[in-house]
Amino acid sequence: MNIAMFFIFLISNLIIVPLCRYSYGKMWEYREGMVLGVHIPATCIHHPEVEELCEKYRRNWTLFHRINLAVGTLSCFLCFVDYIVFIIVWSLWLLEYACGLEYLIIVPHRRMYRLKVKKGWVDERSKKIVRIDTAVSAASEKMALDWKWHLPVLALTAATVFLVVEGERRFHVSWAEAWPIWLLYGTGVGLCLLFLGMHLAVVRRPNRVYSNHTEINLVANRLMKRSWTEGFVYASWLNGASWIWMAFWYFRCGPDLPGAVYGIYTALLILEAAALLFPLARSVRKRREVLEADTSACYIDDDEYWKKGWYNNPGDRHLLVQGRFNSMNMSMNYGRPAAKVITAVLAAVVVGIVIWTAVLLADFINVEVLFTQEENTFTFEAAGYDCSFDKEEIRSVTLLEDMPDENFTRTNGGSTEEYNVGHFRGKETGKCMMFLYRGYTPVLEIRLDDMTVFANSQQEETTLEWYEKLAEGAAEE
Amino acid sequence: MIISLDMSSDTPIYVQLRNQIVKGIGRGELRAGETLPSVRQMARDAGINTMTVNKTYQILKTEGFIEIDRRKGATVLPAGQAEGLFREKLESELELLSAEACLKGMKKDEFMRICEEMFTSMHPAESEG
Repeated sequence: MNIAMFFIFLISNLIIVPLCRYSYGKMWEYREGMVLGVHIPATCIHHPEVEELCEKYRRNWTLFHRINLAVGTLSCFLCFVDYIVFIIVWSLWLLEYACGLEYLIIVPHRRMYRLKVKKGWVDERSKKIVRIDTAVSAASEKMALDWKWHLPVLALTAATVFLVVEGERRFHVSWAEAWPIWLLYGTGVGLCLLFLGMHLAVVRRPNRVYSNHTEINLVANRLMKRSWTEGFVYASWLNGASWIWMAFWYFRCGPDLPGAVYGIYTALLILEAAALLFPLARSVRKRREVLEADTSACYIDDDEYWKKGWYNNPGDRHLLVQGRFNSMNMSMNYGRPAAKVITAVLAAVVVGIVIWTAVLLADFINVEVLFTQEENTFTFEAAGYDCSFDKEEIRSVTLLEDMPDENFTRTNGGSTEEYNVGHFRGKETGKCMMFLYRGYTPVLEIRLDDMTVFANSQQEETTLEWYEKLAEGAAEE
Repeated sequence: MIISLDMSSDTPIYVQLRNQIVKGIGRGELRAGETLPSVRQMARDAGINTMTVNKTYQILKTEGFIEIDRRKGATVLPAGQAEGLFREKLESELELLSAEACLKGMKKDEFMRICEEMFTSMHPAESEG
């Protein structure tokens, strides 16, 4: 378990940090008329203050990523010390990395913009000019992949609802066990819808005029639109395939899914991310080659709208525009109220998910199995999971010297080297709940009408006390 | 052709758009039979209202520079004969320009030379097909 977590997080870190580092490219180099995201005349790139700013940025950018790669990698070793501490440290590191990344991009950009204004390198007239290449605009509809490619996979993914419902019916799955699979179902369908929405947004994105040569504009715009929409379609199909795979096996095996099913599901998700990013990365490289070979490039100095580090142009009707610092990104136009509303909603959702996850994890920091009896009702509780049953539901109570010799699959709960808490399924036992400290005996096995409960305490005498109470209750029936 | 719209100009956007398309046809940057962007796409790329583009296209159609087909969209028409209405408009505009040039002290030869230069730079292109 710890080794698996270690490698999952280690590989994630080894992908995230270099991806962020290289996707933002070398902003200190003069490209598309810009340096550090600010348009300046080509004659000014060797100005001492510009060179100093760029050199400082390059140094900080490299150092920041080297340190974060090391810290992120080292934090993974905490998996072997304490899982909860690891999750907290890793999340804090990720937060620091995301904030640091924004800081390192926005602050040098603002300094560069201030320098540009101070030196009077502003092309006031060009920022009010809008350029349209009629040949590019006329060919726009044929540049992107047809959005209807999303529909079959969206329909198939949504239709798996029948597989899930039937699987639940066949294996008598309760809601407590089933909600994680519904969460995965929602994620699967939601991602397909998200990819479709993003596809439409890209299709509707305005074409840009990069050059006075129509051929250059056609190639550059086609590359971007084609690669984005291809990436969304590939990702949508792989996302659909991963979920359909999972739903099929859920239908066949119920919540007790073999590890290989999760393995292939994860592999398909990784492929999905690669299918989304690979065409984008390739098109960014090709577009750069095309634009660098152009001898009649034309740039619009719209830096005033980017001076804060994000796009704010109330006069622009577009809600989504191409990112200034990373051409693989899209940025919202905060000059429009809708952008602020969307950002606020997204922030609220993210904060909500973080709090919810923190509350879930907090329950696992100090796991304590509690047993209570209120008249005819017995309750086991631990780490946010509970199981209540009446005397008449008890079929048998047994004191085991060890857990039954079979494989149990966790369907909804927590499992570490110290405890097993939550919902599980066993090949012979079937549906069960566990409130167990691992390595402590004896273990209580309480067979109920519809499932089995395993529980114990770290003190042998407490487990025996619980056994007596339960056996007494069962005998009364 | 590449159209440049100046959003800070006093000239209305639809007039700028109309003038640039006419100049483009005149210079041969837009060939006869060439398709113009759809109203929606042009508005999207320029970040302006579709009504503005629609107004421009209707003016160009009325003036006989383009035709609008429901399936093919807007296409450039071949250069035609000057109509009586156009001649009247041209004479009126030239009269105003001549008066302004005269009042600013421009000589007739210079005025005629500019007119000739402008006119000879126009090379309306026929359809490739």
